[in-house]
Order: sequence, then C-alpha cells, then structure tokens
Amino acid sequence: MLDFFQEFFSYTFIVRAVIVGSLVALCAALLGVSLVLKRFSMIGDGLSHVGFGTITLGIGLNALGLNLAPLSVSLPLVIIAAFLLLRISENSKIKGDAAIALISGSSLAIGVIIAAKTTGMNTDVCNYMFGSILAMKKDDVYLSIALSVVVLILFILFYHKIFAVTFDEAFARATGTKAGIYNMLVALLTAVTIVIGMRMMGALLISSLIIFPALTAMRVCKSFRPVTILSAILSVTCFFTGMLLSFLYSTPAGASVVVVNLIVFCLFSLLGKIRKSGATI
Amino acid sequence: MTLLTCDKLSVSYNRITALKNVSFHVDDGDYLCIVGENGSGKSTLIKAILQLIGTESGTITLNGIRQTEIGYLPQQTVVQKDFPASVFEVVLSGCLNRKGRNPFYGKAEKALALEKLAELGIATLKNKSYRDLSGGQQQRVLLARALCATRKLIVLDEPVTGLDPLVTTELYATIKELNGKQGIAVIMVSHDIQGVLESANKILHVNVEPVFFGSPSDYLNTSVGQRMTGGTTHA
Amino acid sequence: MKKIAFILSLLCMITAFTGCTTSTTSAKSDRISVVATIFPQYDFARAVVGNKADLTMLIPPGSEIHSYEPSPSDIIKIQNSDVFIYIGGESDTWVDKILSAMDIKNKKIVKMMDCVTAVEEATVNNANDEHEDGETHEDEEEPEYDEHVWTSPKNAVKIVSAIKDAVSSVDTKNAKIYESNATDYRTKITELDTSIQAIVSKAKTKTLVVGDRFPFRYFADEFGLSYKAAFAGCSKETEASAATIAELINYIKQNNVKTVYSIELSNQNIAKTLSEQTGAKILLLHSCHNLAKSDFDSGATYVSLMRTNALNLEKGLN
Repeated sequence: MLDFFQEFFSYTFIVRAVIVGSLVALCAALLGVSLVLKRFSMIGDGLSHVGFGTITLGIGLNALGLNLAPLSVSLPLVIIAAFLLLRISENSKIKGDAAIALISGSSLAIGVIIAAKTTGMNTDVCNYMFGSILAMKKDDVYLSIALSVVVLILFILFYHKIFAVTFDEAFARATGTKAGIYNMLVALLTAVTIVIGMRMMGALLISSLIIFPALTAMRVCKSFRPVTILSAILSVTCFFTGMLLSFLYSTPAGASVVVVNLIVFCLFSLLGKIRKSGATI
Repeated sequence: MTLLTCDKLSVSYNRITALKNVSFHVDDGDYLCIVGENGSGKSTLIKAILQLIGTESGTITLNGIRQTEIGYLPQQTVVQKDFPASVFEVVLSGCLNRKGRNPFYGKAEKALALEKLAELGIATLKNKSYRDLSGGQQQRVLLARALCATRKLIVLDEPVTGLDPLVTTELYATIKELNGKQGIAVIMVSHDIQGVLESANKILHVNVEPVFFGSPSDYLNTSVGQRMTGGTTHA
Repeated sequence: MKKIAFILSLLCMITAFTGCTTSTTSAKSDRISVVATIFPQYDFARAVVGNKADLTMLIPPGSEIHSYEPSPSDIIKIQNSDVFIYIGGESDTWVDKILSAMDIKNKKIVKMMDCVTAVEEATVNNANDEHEDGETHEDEEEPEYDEHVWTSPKNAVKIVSAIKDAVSSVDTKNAKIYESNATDYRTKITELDTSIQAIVSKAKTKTLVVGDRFPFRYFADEFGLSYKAAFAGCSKETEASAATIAELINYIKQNNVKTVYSIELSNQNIAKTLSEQTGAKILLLHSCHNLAKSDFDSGATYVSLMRTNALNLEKGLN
C-alpha cells in the first residue's frame, strides 16, 4: 500500500494535478455553499461555458499568430461575465435563470465554431471540454495556491457576513451590510476557480465541483458551519479518491471525480433519510 | 423623541410611481401600522425606510438611531425555509453590525442572542435546525434576530402571513409586549388590520399617495378606515 | 442586456474574421483539376504535375484532420475534379459516402491504401503490455487498418507512381512531363530511404519512444524499429491515462532512454511530462500527415520533412 503511494507521488505531473485539483476543489466547495443556497448554482455552469468559449478564442487567436496564453484571454473575460451575470440576476430573479442559459449556450456555440474554423476540434479543444491532468503547469500550482489563500481568508474573516448575506440578503442590507460587495467577491472568486479548475476537470464538469459537495453536506448537517466544513472536507476527499481511481483504472480524471462525488452524495442522502426516520421512531 | 421622520417621500422604479409625497413620523415607543390594498406601495415604503431602494425625492431622517440599529423582519423567502442553519446561528446574525471590526462574535453578542431567545420563549430551540421549525417558530426566531440588531425600533413586513390564527394571536401578543414593556417602537406592514387595531397607536394608510395618518380611532371614523375594517366597528 | 449583446456581437465579429475560408476553385480550362484531401498526397501530386495542372488541397494546413467534415464547396471541388486522391482509411470514411452519391465515371480516383500493403492497427498499446486488464479482444469487427501508409518511403514511391499513372491517363498531352517529374521525385525519395536505412543500422538503440500518438507504423516496420508510444496508432483518444504515462516514465528510466519524440502540431503535454520527469530530450518526428500553415507556406515537402526526421533520428537513436 505504502509502495503504491510512494510510486503514485513520485510522478511530478501527478503531484501537480493533485495539488491544483485539491485546492480548486476546496475553493469550489466553499464558494458552492453560498451559491447553492442562494439558488445560484447555475452560475458555475454559465461561467464554465463562457470559459470554454473564451479559451477557444484564445487558442484561435494563437493559431492566427498572436502569441497569447489562452488563460490570459479567458480569465479576464470570464470575470467580466461573472459580474454581468450577477448584475442580471440582481435585477430580476426570473430573468436570471434564462440569462445564464442564454450566455451559457451562446458561449459554447461560439466556442465550437471558433474551434472548428481555426484549429478544428483537436486535442486541445477536447481537453478543455473534458479536462486533462497533464494540463497543469508550475504556474497553475502557484495560481491555485494564491486563489485558495484568498478564498480561505475570505471565508474565515468574513464568514459571518457571508452567512448573513446568504441566509437573508434583505436583512443584511437593511442592517447596513454592503451585500453587493460580498456577492461580487464570491462571483469573482468563482470565476477564477472555474478558469483554473476547468483545465483539469473540463468545462463541462467543473460546475459539479461547485454544486455536489454543498448538496451532499446539506443532506446530513443542520447548521451552517458544519455544512461549510463538511463540504470542504468532502470535496477534497472525493477529488483525491477520484484521481486515485482514475490512475488505477485508466478512467478520465475529471469524470471520475464527479462520479465519486455522486456516489458520496447518494450515500449521504441515504444517511440523512435514515437519521430522520430514526429520530421519529 | 422622534425616531424616524419621512417627509414628502416619493419613490418610483421601472418608470412606475410607487409612492408619492408620503409624510409621517414615528416617535419613541410608537406602534405604527401601515395598511393599504395590494400594490399600494406598503412594501416599497418599508424598503425605502431601510435604504434597500433609492428614493426619487423627499427625505427620510433618523434621529437617535443609526441605520445599523433598526431591526427588520422581512417576508420569508423560499430559500430560507429550507436553509441549513441552527436557530442560534440565525439569531446571532442579527448582531452582525454590532461587533464592529472584529470578524468574530464576542461573548457580549452571544449573550445577547441567548437573552433574546429567552425573551421570546424559544430558548429550547437554540440548537435546532431552522428548517425543522414550524412557521410560527421560524417567525419568532427571525424576530429574535431583529431584536439583536436594535434596542429602539423594529420594522416588520407582513409578519403573520401564512400563520394559523392561534399562532398569529400569540405573535401579536409578543410584539405588543415588546412595544409596551420594552418601549421598542414598531412599524408593521399588515393586511390584517383587525389584529393590530388594539395595539397600534398610529395608522398610516397609503395608496401610492398618503390617504391617512393618525390615530386608530380617527382612522375608524374615515370612510376608507371603515371599508378596511369591514363596516363600522367598535374601537 | 445591452452589455451582453455588445459582447456577443464582438465575439461574432471575431468569429467571422477568423472563419474566412481559403481555397478558390479555378475556372475550367484545358488544365486538368487534381484534388487531394491532405498533405502527403498533395505533395506527391504536386511533385508529379508541377504547374501543368490545377492542384487543390482540400483540408487547410493545420486543421484537425481526424474530425474533418466536408463542406458543400469541398464536395463540389471533388465533383469537378478529374483526378481525386484520398487515403481510404479511418479518417476519410466520409469520402466513400460522397463518392457513392456522385457520378465518378470520368474521374480517376487514387486510393492510397490500395497502392500498398496495409497493416492492421495495433489494438494493444505496446507500453501497456503488463497492464492489460484482460482486454484482448479477438477481432469480431472489421479489422482497422493503419492508414499512415506514406510514412514508409518505399510506400511513398509506390504512391507517386500510382498518381503519375492516374494523371497521365487523363492528361495524355503532358504524360511525358509527368513521367519525368515522377522519376525525379521517386529518386529523391529513394535516396532519402537509403540514408535513413544507414542511420538506423548504425544507431545505438533501435527503439523509438514517442510521447504522443503513433502514426509511424509503416516507417518503423520498414526500417526495423521497435517502438513505445503513449497511444496505439493514431488514436482518437485525446488523453493518455495516468497509468500509461507512468509506465512510459518507468520504461524510459529503466532503459536509459535519452530521447522522447513528439509529432507535428502536438501540444506536447505528454512529451513534456515525460521529459520533465526523466530528463529525456524532446525531438520532433514529423509524420507528414498534416503540417502548420507556416511550414506549408515556406514550401515544405515530404522529402524535406523526412530529411529533418532523419536528422532527429540520428540525434535521438545515438
């Protein structure tokens, strides 16, 4: 057993993938708690599709000769999209859902066209859709560490504000909290998390990292702090397990992580139901 | 002492005028009930007072009380009914703007929350999950939260919507007690004029424009007042 | 909403600009029209016809070949061509569909797979020999043939001859010129072949380690090289499993491999990972299947690309 882990961690590319992935999973889970509870889960989906569209734009521009790291094209655009989505949803809750779907679908479609017309649906494009563990470079490690530090600080120092704004934004605003700023912050950090995590998990799957851990934790926990902590623990654990399984059984890494999350969700749902029925007996 | 003065307040959004030229004031220990038909601008007025929306013209003046010291009991959202939070966490969040720059709640805040829970008779629910409570219990929790934020004024937006008659009566009694014994001023938006007629000492009837502002007895003598209370009643 | 509309239209405009199509069809003259799908056959045809015929390459250089879908204008080009050259393998099954719907009586069609002896694609990845999860499927389906037949210079010679025959039969006027061009090119390719054979026989190691797809089956077979690659053949897979990569890393370390090859137009993720872990150098092995626009524009040919391969082979196998 120990030998296996020694071998597993002897490969640089695996260590990098595990570090970046775990940190992304951690951030996604924490941010996800707030997003899911505000019924804003779809922002993850919307932003990841915008991410895909912007990355193909970056690749396309590269193919035309402009030497740009696709990330540098994608990150600012996705952040802008995050602010836009937030703005839209603030103005009307019903429109919010449809607006996300609009932006989501359009970005994906535009991305596919750009890809088809420039480089074709090649390896790079497929990797961005479905993820690739080899895509992590040294810079990604630093970037993900920086991101996690910021998210963790946010969650520790502003935990109570985040709770108040998530539970009851109207009350928070009425008593003087600048809810708008916190919402922007969460949206911004979500955008960064998605752009970093998308390269490993894939644009189509990264939003699951945001949604699943929070939902799972809510099956069994009754108060906010346990939900937050459990969500973070579950996310990182499921990620690591998924990576391990993908290594052992040669399954795609991103999808394996999501499947593990799914299994854990079902387990916890069952647990939650048993607990409830146990309490009434 | 006058806590809150509204002077010729006008509010509009989406190019619709929601309120026009509304004036009234709330003193220490007042119990103001804001009434009107659906769409008359009652909720808009509350939101304006709490600075949740902007105003077009007119002024809202607070005296002896800060923005952060108003307790608010908003209408419950779907999100909240299913929210995983303990009762204590919810009530404690009312202290959010009391703790200043400190990112954590101190002993004082926690003690205050416990005190408010006890006052409203729900101390035993402290560690229960909010989503497992009944409608009436949830409202009490939110009321406790509002009390944590203020010592002088609470604003309640249709607090008894969806509650059964017995629970409604109990809640009104509790609010009356807070108003009477602790001298906390109350501004309540309500459809249920009958229920509050006893406790209120001021009525504000709006229909985009102000229709009436004064004492309940005077209100009952107006035609609109009589219509709202379903014919002539005995004060 | 205005902001979204603005950003969307901006994206649309960018798409429109990048999506400009390239080739134009030439008017019908007394020059014959030759259409080749991708670079190898285009290059061979170019060497044979020179400027005596109208030659078109269907798929733009640098475009992804394996997922190519022909546009209506492509189909028209094929329809109007006198000679049409394609591979006849996995990546252009769309050709058969189009041809079956077309009147091809007066067309000369060269199917490269028919010009040579084709070999079945390896279904087992050499690198994964020890890791077989009991997956040895007996071929219940149609056997898949490796389509990269031109990578062997001896095959290339055969294909050049076939193309020469085809264009000569349609354009009898220029047959002599075609014959002489073809002979020239065949000679060049044969010289190349000999030099590579010499390099391989002198080489210290006779194993190619390729951190990429592996379109070099015919090349390796002709020169007697064995190989280890991240994918069996030119797989449709986009990502090698972590286990495969680990295997390759171990192999490289155990056998003291100094060079890892990657193919053209690759993002080199796998090769870089292998190189980083083991210190092996990355060299290019160009399969001539597709090439970057810049290479195409600067006049690269099969022979020139293969000469670079020869150099890299010499560096890497010693």
